[in-house]
Amino acid sequence: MQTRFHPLPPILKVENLSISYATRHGEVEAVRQVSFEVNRGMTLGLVGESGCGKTTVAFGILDFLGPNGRIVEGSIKFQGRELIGRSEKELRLLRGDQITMVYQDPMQALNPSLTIGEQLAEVLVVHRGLSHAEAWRRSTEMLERVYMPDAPNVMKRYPHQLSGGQQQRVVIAMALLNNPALLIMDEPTTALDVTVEAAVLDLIEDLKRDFDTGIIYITHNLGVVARVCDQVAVMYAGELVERAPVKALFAHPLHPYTQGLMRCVPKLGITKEASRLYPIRGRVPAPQDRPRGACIFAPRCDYATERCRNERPMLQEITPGHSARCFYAGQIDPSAWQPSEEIEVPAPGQRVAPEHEVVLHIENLKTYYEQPSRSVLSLFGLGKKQYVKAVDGVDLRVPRGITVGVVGESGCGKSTLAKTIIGLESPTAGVLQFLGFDISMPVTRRDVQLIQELQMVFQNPDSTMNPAYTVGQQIARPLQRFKTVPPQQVYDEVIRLLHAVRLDASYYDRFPSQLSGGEKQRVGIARAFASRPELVLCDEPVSALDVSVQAAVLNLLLDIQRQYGTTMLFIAHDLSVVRFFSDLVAVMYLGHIVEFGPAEAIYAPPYHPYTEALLSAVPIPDPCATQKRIRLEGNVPSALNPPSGCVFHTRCPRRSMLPDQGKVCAVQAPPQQWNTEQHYILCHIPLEALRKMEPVITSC
Amino acid sequence: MATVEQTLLRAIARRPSRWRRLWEGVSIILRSRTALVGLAIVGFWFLVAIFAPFLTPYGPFDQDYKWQNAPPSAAHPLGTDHLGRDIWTRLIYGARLVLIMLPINESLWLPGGIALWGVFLALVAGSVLGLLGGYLGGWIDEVVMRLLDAMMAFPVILLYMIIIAAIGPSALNIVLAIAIVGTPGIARLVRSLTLDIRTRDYIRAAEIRGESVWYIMFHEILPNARGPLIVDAMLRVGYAIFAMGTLGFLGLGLPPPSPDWGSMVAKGRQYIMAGSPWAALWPSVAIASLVVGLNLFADGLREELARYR
Repeated sequence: MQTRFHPLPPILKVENLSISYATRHGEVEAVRQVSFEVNRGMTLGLVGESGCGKTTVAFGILDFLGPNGRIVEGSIKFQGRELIGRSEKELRLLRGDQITMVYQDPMQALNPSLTIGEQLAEVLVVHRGLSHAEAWRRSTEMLERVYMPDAPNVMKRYPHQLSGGQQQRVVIAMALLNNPALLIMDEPTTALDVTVEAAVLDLIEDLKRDFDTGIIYITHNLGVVARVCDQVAVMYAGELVERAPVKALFAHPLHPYTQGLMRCVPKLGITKEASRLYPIRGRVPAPQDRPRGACIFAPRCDYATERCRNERPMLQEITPGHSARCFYAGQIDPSAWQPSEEIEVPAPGQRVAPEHEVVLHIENLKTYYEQPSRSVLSLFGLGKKQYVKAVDGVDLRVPRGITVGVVGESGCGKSTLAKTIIGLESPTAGVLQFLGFDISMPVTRRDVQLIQELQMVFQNPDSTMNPAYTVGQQIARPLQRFKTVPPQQVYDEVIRLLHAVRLDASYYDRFPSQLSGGEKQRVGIARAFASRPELVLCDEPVSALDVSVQAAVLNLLLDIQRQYGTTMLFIAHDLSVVRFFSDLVAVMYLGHIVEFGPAEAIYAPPYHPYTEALLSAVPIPDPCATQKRIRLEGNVPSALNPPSGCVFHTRCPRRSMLPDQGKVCAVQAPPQQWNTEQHYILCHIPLEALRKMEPVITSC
Repeated sequence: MATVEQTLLRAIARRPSRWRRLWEGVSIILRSRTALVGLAIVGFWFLVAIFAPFLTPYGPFDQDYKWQNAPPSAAHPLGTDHLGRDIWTRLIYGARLVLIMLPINESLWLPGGIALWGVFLALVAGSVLGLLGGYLGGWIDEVVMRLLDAMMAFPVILLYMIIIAAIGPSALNIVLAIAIVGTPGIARLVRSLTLDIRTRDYIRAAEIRGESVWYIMFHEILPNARGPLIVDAMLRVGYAIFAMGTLGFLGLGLPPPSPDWGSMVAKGRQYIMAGSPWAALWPSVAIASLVVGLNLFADGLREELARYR
């Protein structure tokens, strides 16, 4: 991004802002001396892991700190005027008019009992004093500007009648209605699917050009930052540690924390063998344990010296526009970095040899849910039964010791597939065999011996552990139940498992509330591996974790898998994580596996058109990588009435490659076309044509 | 095998965490002024109930014909009733019945008062029904909840009267009545908590381990419902005391001469207009203060729990 000439003062100038909260542990400083500026037409990315104070800064600007939060010092100048100390009334007029905010969850930002039109028009009536008709007209226009299809009709609908992506568009439209000078977006795409996220990010880029608004974009995702931001401010534990233009930041990160973050993120473009993740050791200190007269990152820093532990560095400008809060910024060469010995980093990647024994054998598996019909007849049991075809004819063979990744948007059936395998749902039809035994029955009717061979790691660290029991008790339970070890050895085995997930013995007596998200997930992994299962299903095990923790947990899973020779089914929506983690990848869409093959084959042409679209939607943490821009239209169709023929034909951007605009796609189910012995694509387009397509991602 | 040393180290490592949790629990109560006031009132009644024989020179049935309907004096701090019995004595022996001893027959009594036993039995029955309905769902849920709805359709007082009229007034039967009347409310609460808790991943994990329905209900779900359940149970003890008073007042309480607060009010009521309100006043104050104390304690606890969730 070129630097523009700014005759006007910056829209927002935050200087030395410190915010603290009154908590049970006394006054806790959440944000410490943060300074940044936002100019017109510029997007400032505020990046950092959870708990580092990003949202607190945003709430400080809006004065949304709540009864227990207060601004300790500093100044917030909005268009040259000081905001701190203004009355509640003045600030309220400013909010929603000059400063607006977009939140993470659009469903919570919209009032479910009012139509979209009423909610949008209200903004203009209240802040601009327009007549209702005029406000309605302008609101419709604004919806059209955020590329909402069929805007006049959407105005009359209620929020629940829109999809997540459309809801977020409405929220963005609402935020832009008054043409605000400053727009604060707090993780606006985190709750959305990759494909929807990509479309919303495109929209934000366009709006930046059209509206000349200053944007503060809060996110934890480096890929998103690389795509939409001009300036980036990296936050760590309440402090701003680095501030730079986006390209400079990714090309030459100066602060050791930023460098560490970059090493944590799996990258899509590079080959799998070379991709290793190096987590940052330790964890973000809790606000009350942060060192005061020292560098806040020193306990986790590989370059820390005596000076870092005794003196607090200031934010200093190293090159023009690029500053970092580190004594040694500019002197550290990240390419010379070596992992310290504490961190063991397994390299992923195993060749799938044909002699591998098949552990899990799935053939034409179907899992349907019965949907109660809404007709009056159904009251008398006469209505026609309808089925949600969550999994509709899946074939999968999982060889021993291999990781199979399953990707797809939400609603594609990947979780139902996992539930069917684990026995929480019963299959409607098809073959489901595990170690040669039929497991097409619910878990309650399975043999204990089979149950212990089949375990699962869950997504949400906050609900994966029972809050009423200690870590030790929870890991011990499967050991006792499956009699994996004799009773008197249970304690030692639990300690051994804790060590295996890199937690020390003192965790035995802790309760889940005393653990961080990453630690809870580790305990969840230890519990799943306690009975030494043959197959472990991982349902989005890292999607709720911070990047630095994510890397550590992924490495841990790989390591344990290697130790025990466990087979894994890895379900995720993040294509870069799946690529890093899996040997074989299955791409699912509406209950079907549309492409299956070794990881390298999936991420290079020939692609299934759906895989291609998914890949082009992934945000890549590299501002100079180029991606083909393929956006899917509409939403995943309902699995109640899946499209005829090829299920993807309604959204397929490549249909035009076939004669007759792909009439055959709507009529006939696509054939399995085998590219190599292990790689097949479910598509009507001939392999020759698919092979000729260019790779989606080209890095520089 | 773990050596002695290891066992010791384990015990030491274990202690801080347990102590800290206990201390956190206590500090929640200390932090809330509302809960503290409630605790003080309830604590007062527990103490006088436990030490009743040492706090008065009289017995609860001792009559003194020279002192009928006497106002408070040095000999009788709260006055006497129409039979010349010391009201303070009867009051604190009445508190025993409510809070610390349940008479089965003349010679046998169980620790824990009528109100506490009634609520405890209601908790047991309500939890089982609520867990069954909430966790298993389907037709079991329908049957259980419709039956409980039918019970809740009766006004509480009417239900008490029907039950006592049917099985006769005695300490044990009042316990039963309190349990029966309290069950539907607790079952509903437990069911709604269960509906939330059963969606958590740790319940999935238990199901995947092939745990039995009973294990999941009582070991995985119930411990996580205890916070709201404790608060609710405390409020219910208050209601139960109130119900005991009402039953006693209506003549369906413990048979006379036992120092039942409700029947004390009922008898004393006749002498209010005669210029000696004491016999009716003090038991009313006792019931009110204990119920208010329990409510304050429960409210304070609930607020503090919600604040630091």
